[in-house]
Amino acid sequence: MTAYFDTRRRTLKLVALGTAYCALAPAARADTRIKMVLNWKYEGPQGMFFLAADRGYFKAAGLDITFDQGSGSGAAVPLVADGTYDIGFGDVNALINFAARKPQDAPIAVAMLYNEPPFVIAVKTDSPIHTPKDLEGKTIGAPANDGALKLFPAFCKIAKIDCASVKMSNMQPNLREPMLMRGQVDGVFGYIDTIRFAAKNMKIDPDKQLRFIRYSDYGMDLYSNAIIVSPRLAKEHPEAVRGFLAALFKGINDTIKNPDAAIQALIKREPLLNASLEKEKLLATMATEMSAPEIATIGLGAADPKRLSKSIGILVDAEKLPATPKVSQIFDASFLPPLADRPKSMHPHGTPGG
Amino acid sequence: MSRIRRQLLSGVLIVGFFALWQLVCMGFHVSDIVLPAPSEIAVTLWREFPAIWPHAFQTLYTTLVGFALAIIFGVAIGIVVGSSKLAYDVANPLLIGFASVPKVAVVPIFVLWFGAGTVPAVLTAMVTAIFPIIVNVATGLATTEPELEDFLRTLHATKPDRLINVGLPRAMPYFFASLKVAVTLAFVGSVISETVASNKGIGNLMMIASSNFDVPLVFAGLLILAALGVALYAVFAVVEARVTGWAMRGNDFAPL
Repeated sequence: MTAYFDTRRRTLKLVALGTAYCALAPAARADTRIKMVLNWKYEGPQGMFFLAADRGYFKAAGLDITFDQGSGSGAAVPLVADGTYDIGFGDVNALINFAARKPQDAPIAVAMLYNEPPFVIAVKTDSPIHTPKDLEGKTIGAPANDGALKLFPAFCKIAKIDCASVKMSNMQPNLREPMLMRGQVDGVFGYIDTIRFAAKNMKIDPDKQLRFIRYSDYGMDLYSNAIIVSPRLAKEHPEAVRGFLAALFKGINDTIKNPDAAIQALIKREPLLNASLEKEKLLATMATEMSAPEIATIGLGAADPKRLSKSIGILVDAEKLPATPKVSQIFDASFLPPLADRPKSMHPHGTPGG
Repeated sequence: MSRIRRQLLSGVLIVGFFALWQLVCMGFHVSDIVLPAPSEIAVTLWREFPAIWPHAFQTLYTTLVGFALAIIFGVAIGIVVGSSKLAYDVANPLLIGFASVPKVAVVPIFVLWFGAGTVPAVLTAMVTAIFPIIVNVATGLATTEPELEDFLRTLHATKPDRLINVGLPRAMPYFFASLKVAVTLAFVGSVISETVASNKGIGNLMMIASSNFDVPLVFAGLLILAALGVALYAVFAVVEARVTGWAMRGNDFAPL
């Protein structure tokens, strides 16, 4: 009997203590749960997210965050739009496309991370394809969700080639580079670093065995991947979005200081990855995709409204979109941390040459 | 219950299913990127039909070619395996091994061998459809009554005689029953292959539609698949009833 009462009293005491603790310490409020979908399978550049998570920056901002692997930057947009995920790392051009078709459901970009266009068509070095014109009559492949594939109609228009004469083939992401190397397709669409490093994984030297036709060389000065959030999260929990970005930029700053730490955070999640290859990929992404000259003045994460508005124009025109979304419908800079907290150069400290 | 009433009820069930779906979508204001209403899918289907048709034709074509190959090889293997105890015991582990391999894991290999296109879809349709045919033909042959075999042996019937005159006719109900299942499996095989790598077909259409955020078109593709699947099943159910109706002597379990 006594024992019974003792236990009960102790439980009561615990409950009372707990209540008092909650009432006294507002910091102990329940964390906001955030589900985030990444742009791709686990890869080096995502180390920035994982480092921020492992160092507790999201937790400190009151966020309980889970990351899921993605299947393409374009695929992240509808997943955030339909509420499956709260936040995504996805292609802003796919977002523009989506916003033009379904403005009421469209997510919004809150931080531009990949600010140089990575879109390319890769061919084998000995391929007869040298200019976009040579693509006519050839078969080019990519996963249906690929960003470069989706921008191809726009590219055709700008490079003045007949899109209809190029045969399209779709495949799962893991078949893209093997099918190119085996000659099943004449060329493939993709992000330059994704293709380069997939090739390296296959023991192919991308510098010797592959050539790239870059969209940017033909005047397609587009942004690429951004942090996109659901309109519901932005409206109902703006503080969560602000907290998320502040934590993420801390992780990015830490990655610049110590890329190896970011790679360790990545390898902790997927030990099967090749650490040195992923580090190379992280550094290449930082040096190219994240290093538009404009970040020296506006800082990483911000977007130049003029440049964004121009790329909206390119997409609407080339894809015959039903509406022209306003820049404010696509990108909202108000959640970003102050300029002082965002990097103005992605050059890693202590890594000469980058 | 009369046949007409049964068919009426099954029609009511289908209509009811879509009506409920429509009501749920309207009642809860479900966004069309989550679950489009049947009315919206129907509109998409109607509007996009000229674009969908070549894809449906491609899928039907690869399914039927793959299915035909599955019948040819399935029956041949089934006869070998079913007509001898030795062959059955020897081949069984290998066959089960092949049957257990998830077909979606085989498609990338086919694609690397033959490229994305008609060939991997046909092959995938064939390997998915072949096993029920092999198993049923072999079972049908193995279950020929031994008394009947003994009787024929007393008449000096050779093994091929017995196979052609008794074994195979006895196996027909099994064979035709397997076709209904196999043809829907062939269909699944084709579509799997098209979603892995292709440039045409309903599977490809659905991948492209979902990458364009066109969820109603994805569902239109699903509806086409369901309709084609039911149609193929029905064709082979009728064939079965025609050819092997003698084996179903009006009991309550008869499928038609």
